[in-house]
Amino acid sequence: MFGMIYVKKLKLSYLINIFILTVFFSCILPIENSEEDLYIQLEKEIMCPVCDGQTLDQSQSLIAEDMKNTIKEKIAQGYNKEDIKSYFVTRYGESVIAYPTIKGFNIFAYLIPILGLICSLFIFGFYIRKEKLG
Amino acid sequence: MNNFGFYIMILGLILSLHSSLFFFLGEIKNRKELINSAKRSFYIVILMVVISSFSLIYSFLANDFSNIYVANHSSLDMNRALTLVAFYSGNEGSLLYILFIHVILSGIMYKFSPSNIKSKLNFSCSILTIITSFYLFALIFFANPFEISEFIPLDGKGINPLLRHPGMYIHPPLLMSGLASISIPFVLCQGSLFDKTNSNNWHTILRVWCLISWAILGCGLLIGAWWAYTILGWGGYWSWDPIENVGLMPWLVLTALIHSIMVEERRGIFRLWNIILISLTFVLALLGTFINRGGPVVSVHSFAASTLGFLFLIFMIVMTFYSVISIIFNYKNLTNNKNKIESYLSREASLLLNNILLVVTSLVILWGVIFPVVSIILNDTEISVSAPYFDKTAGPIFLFIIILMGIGPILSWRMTTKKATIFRLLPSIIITVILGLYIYISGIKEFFPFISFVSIFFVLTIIFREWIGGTKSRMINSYNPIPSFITMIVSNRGRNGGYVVHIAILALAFGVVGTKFYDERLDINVSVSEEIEFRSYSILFKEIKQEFIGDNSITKAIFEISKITDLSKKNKIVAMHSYYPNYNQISVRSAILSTPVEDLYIIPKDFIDENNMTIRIAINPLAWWIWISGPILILGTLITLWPNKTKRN
Repeated sequence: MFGMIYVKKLKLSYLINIFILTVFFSCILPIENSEEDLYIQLEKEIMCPVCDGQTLDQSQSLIAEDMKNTIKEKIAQGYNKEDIKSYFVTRYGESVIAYPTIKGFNIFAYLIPILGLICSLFIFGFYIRKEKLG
Repeated sequence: MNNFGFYIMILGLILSLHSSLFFFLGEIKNRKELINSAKRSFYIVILMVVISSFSLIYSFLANDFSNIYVANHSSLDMNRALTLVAFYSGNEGSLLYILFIHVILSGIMYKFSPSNIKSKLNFSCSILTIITSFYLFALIFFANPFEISEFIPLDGKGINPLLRHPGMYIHPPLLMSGLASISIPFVLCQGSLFDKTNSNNWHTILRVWCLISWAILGCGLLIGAWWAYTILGWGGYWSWDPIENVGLMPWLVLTALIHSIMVEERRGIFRLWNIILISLTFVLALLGTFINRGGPVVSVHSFAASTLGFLFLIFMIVMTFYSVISIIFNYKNLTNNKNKIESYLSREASLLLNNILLVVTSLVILWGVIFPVVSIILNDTEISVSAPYFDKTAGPIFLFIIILMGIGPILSWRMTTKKATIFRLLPSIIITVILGLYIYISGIKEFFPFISFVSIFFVLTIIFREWIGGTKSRMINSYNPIPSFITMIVSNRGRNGGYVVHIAILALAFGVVGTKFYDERLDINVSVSEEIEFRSYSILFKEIKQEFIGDNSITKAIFEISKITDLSKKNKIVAMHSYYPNYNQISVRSAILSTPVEDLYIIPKDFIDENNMTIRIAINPLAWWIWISGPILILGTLITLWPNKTKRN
């Protein structure tokens, strides 16, 4: 009888964990808002190289305006999102992209939060199990 | 006057060190006269800081440009009402302002502590005065606001144009006060470690001060967002800038703390955890100050950038070290409690999970803030970590916290059966499913916004169900629901105030999800008397007006907005560019027509000539709810903090 309850409750906690992790993973994958204009997407994902941590859509500096025009031109010429991004990366370096791209060392930027979340949930589960049994 | 202010600060430092030492010695040797002497210095230091602050204000009012700080942050034509803003608009003045708040709050805390606690506060006060001494030391040796220049300029440089906004009277002072006020619960907690009687009064006073810090910091963040929304002219309100993040991190941990203190109050467990949390909050607040004043990350909030960073880094490391040591030394005392968590389905467990998620979010944000530095050191590549990263990593965790916010409060202490929980949730689940279907049919089909909206409604229905149930049970004697509702709220202020704050957070989340996923933008050239239709709006560009105030030239664009469905009702909104020649800077103010459904937001991008301009028209759905959450949050906090006449058991 005790075992039954124990297994049942454990299952519940697993279910919650699985739910949390699925949502987390599904969100961490790139969100493509298809309805949003490619231009506006890029504006939010590319940094203004001279304005201390502002993306293009936040900045009104001359260089930002210049870059916005370049994006518009490139889109008109039929370049896709990745092409435009890599164009800016070759000109201004990797820091022009507003987030760490998921490759190489940058994987740690995403791996640490995920591992942190998983570990803390495990610790939570084990801690309460220990408390309950002790 | 400048020398006077400076010498007063030096005197303050000496007295503050004296106070710190005597509080400590008096406590250890149990000598009353030492403590009395320390007390006197403690209060005099407050007076000294107040005097030196007022002497700086006097210099501002007297246009004393021999003072370098005044010359750099004020000018002859500056509106005198802005003096207060000018006072904290730079590195030195803001530090003095933080110290001012710190000593005032210390004084209030000490003066109004209940008498049975007061006798045990000596150690807390000793740490408090060490913090005071640190600020005074920094001010005197590294950031003197009373420094005198040899050449007296005829006019000052003037205040930074971005700061000339009503939000600036509230946002920076609240945020700085919030960060400074965290030291009060921290020292109280450290003090409580030395009180072996474990009296319950500590929890009450701790909870009160945590709530005060939490509310101040929360409002500061929110008003900062509102300022960014109305004046920075980019249509957003939160850019995940490092400085915004370092304000958010301690706030999140404080949120965790005000929840877990309840567990300690109720069941005596989590004592160790709470001390870890308060120490973490304090260290994060210091980290915030460090990053703000010359830390290694780039930010738009560079107003206080200075060489003071290293000083705060050292202080932060010392305080971290101290916290760790004090926790290790008191480890046994902190963990000897017979009560245990008995079930996953209990209030304690849900609060622990809430705590863990909040702390993890905070650490994830911290990781994002320091990752560019990590990348340079370990990988030798410069990268940026901005909004897209935080949206993806912190966003989902916030969603779980919201869901937990609904389920947690209805679980009972110790343990609940699954059946009882589901039974209690059932009405909310049914309503939420119906609402969910409605939301889905009405076109919200993307995964994250859908889940978010459904969760928000779910939590809201749970709160309302609790309130309706509570009101009903009080309506046996009267037929009027309103007095019953009020008595129900008043009868358990802690809990119901908490619910009100939860509603504020739901409103905030509602607005954030709306603006994040459903904003629309259009860049367009317009000429005077042209009419544009955008979504459901008809926008008439009426005129461009030029005005001069002092040196500044202001270009205004006036728009008349009406709904396509109802053209008779017209709203006039104004967008403007103000040019400040002293700073060679343009400040942009957008024209906003705000309704609970959506904001129409017109950003004046470029004035081409007298008749033509480029604008960006944006629709920010549900943005109104973000701002309404502020007053609700304050209301909830006040309900919670309102003193109880009859003591609950």
